Amino acid sequence: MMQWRIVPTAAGIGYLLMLLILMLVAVNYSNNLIFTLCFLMTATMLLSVWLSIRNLWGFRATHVRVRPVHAGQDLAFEIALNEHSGQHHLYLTLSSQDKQRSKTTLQPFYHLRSGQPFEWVYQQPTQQRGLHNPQRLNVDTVWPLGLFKLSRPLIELPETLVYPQAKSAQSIPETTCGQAAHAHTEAEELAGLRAYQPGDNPRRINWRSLSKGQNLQVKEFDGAAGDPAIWLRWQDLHAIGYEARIRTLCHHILECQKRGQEFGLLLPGIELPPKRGGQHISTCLKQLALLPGER
Amino acid sequence: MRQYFGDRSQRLCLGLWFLALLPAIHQLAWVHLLLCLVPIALYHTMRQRPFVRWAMMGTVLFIAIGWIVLNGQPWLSAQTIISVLALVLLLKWAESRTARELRLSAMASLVLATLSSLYLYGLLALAYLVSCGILMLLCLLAINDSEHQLSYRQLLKTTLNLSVLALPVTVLLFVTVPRIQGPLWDIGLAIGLPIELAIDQDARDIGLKATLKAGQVSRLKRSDAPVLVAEFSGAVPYKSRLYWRGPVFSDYDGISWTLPDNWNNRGRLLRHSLRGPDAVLNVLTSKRDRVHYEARVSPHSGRWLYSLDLPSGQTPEAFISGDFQLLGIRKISREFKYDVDAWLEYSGGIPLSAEQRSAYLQYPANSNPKLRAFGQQLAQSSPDPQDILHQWRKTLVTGGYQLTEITDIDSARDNLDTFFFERKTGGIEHLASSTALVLRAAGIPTRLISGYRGGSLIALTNFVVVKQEHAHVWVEIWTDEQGWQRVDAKDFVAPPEPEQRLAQSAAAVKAKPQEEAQTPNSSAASSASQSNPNAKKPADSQTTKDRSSDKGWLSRLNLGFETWMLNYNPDRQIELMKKGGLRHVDWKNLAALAVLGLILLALIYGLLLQIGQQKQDPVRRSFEQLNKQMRKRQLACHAQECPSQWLQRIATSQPPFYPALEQIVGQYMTLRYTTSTELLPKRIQQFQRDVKRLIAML
Repeated sequence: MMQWRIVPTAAGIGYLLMLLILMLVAVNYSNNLIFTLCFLMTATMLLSVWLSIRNLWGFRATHVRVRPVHAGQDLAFEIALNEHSGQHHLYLTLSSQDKQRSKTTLQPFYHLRSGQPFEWVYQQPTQQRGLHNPQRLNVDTVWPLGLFKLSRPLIELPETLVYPQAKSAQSIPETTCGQAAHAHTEAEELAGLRAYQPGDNPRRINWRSLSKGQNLQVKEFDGAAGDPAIWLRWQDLHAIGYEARIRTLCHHILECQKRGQEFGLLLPGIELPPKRGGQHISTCLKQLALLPGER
Repeated sequence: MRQYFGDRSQRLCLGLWFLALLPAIHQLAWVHLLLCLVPIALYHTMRQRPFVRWAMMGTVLFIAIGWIVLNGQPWLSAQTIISVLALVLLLKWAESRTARELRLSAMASLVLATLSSLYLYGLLALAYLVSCGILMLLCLLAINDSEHQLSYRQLLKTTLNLSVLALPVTVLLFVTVPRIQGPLWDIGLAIGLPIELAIDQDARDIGLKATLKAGQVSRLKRSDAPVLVAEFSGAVPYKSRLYWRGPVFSDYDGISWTLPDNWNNRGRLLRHSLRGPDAVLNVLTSKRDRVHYEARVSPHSGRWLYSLDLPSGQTPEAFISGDFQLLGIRKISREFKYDVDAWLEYSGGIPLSAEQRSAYLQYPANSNPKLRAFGQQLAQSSPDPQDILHQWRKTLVTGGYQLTEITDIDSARDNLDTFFFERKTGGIEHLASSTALVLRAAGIPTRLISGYRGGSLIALTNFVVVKQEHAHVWVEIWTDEQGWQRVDAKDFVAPPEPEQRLAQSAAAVKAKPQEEAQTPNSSAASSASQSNPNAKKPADSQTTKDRSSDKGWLSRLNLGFETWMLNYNPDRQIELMKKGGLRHVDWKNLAALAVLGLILLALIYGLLLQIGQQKQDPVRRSFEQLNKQMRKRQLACHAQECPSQWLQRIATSQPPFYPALEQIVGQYMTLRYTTSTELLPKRIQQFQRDVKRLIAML
């Protein structure tokens, strides 16, 4: 259900006051010309609402894309639009239901020119890790005269996960998990096949099984040990505060990713065995983001 | 709040301010004009240095107000208000830093323009006000266009489009919004604010007196001092039917009408008064249209209560005289309230004695001989008073007579001859006196009534405020069959012209004697006109000729403008609504009509909005229709869901829908993403049919 809202702005209230003064002058002098001006200005005020409606009418958002961010960074919703009225739409602003977050930054103006593909980026600051609920995004306008603010829903923004802020309060522990990572360059003998995981070396993909219509598999070799996999443990960071531990673990995860090091994550009640690759990183960051708040 | 706006907004606002001041610029003292230059000259310094800004604003205002005080200028005079408002607005403009401040400046400039427009008249004033309104809209638009998305030309085009679209709504509001007549002071009087009717002692000396001379009523008409406020029980009659009766004259000495010497003798007045509740009714031969009202009369130096013609009934502390005047027992030295009945149409009276008849036929010797001759000529044509009256009215209608608000006919012995046979323009007292003398010369007993006609109707109420500007003089004639009956010559002559044209005609009249001296033909024409009152005077003929040659679209436009715009008042509004079929016209009906009209226009604008849209993709529209139906079953395809994913979801949650939907989704995806145009219209039609069929099955 489309819900349109219209509220007078401060300028609109000033305009009404001006109309009242014009009316009083017209009545006082029984001057039909001033009555005419007063009615013309009233009519333009009403018509400005009509133009504002037209400014909001005739386009729709087709889909939204959002990239993961860490707390403190701006969520950037990329909104694809479809304009079908053949009109220009000027001075549009976006606002979400989350007034707190909408008010913190000055939203830029968006303009839609007819006959062009559009993609708007709606940025929303984040302060806390965790899941951000789905929210309705409204498109607003005060164009043309700035007397009324009209808004209508544009699209439902999806649920988003905000990773914790990455901030190191302690260096990466040297604790190994007792097993060395596989050193791929020193492989000698084929040990077997396993299912492909994102991040695996493409050279080790078993193309033969793929050509037989089987799932993507990678080869595993026995060989000399590589760098040992490390454990990132919750308990190792007992010296610092609850949220600081999360931020530090997040930083360590990103460091491991940067170094290409295999790691496992041990959180209260959660154990993620050592791995490497994008999927593993995402899973670890997600688990960190979803940790309950400090009691 | 956005802290930026384009420089062009500043320039446009300055332009609006200048245009707003232009018609009233001559009202500003030279000091104020010089002060206006300061903020413009120091504009950049003011914006950069806050100290300079505040110091300069304080200094400018101090000098401006000091000048007003030193010159003893009244604080509420138009000159003071316009000067101060203009200076304050300019200072505000110069220090504006935000869009909000600039908007305020633009809107206040329009108020200044409205006050300035009072110095203009007619089409020029309308053009000026509309220009100011459009410029103000342009300013608002430019302020909003902070990123300069539109060029000057596009801004102007958008503003004009907005103004043109607003025209139907403007006309609707102009015609239907209940019109409240000012001034606001009157509304205060009407709604019962504790405002004394007479403000000062001097005002009490203004008004009708026991003597009536030529030019007296014209002078009275220039005053807007209130005479009385009447509140009617029920609807207010047409203003033209409201005659407020004052002194009744019978003695004329060739120059002025006077009341008898002992007219103010209370004992004599009471002896001849019509006492008792039905005393007046008993002497009337006909009566029509009874009204009841309450009145508050402002204090003055006489006894007259200026009751509505013709009063009947009784009221405390007052009585009705033999000549139907409602008089106070005492002089009206304080505000006086009364409520009586009145008959708007009447005839009758106590039969005249020989002495009275002679008094009402009195015609001063050696005074206005041409009028006497004309009256006798009328009497010879027919003995019937009604025929004589008819002939008289016909003479007035065809004679080209015109009333003026300013008359320059001297109070000489033959001044009515001058008015009636030469000038043909004069005050209402000239016209009424001429009527009285002609009818007396024709043998019809006649008396002259002074008082007021009409009043200012306070719209939305039953109040009428009568002022000195409504002063009027009319005549009553006596016939043995009907008694006294009212004759108002005003309804048979042209009304006064607006002030500007009057000034021109006055100039023409002054120039006329010189032209006559130079051209013998013109004096011959003048003497010819003297012998025949129906012959139009040369100036009039020329004017008529000019007018007839000028009857192009411009004159018609001007006439329509004056009739339907300048003179559109509550009476005309009621008349128009009644012609349009509205039986009962009051503010509620008018407001309802305005709202209905606005709704109708909103529908029309809504349709325009729809027409302006391009056609939506038919494939997408059909798919949306299907999705709408599926939404009712909580099975809608979400905004970010691929139709194939949606199909998979349906397959697991609602398998019975799957086969039908599979076909539709397949067709949809093919049509949406195909590049082949072969048989595309047919395939689209097939898709639409299939969707409709599926919706029907759902």
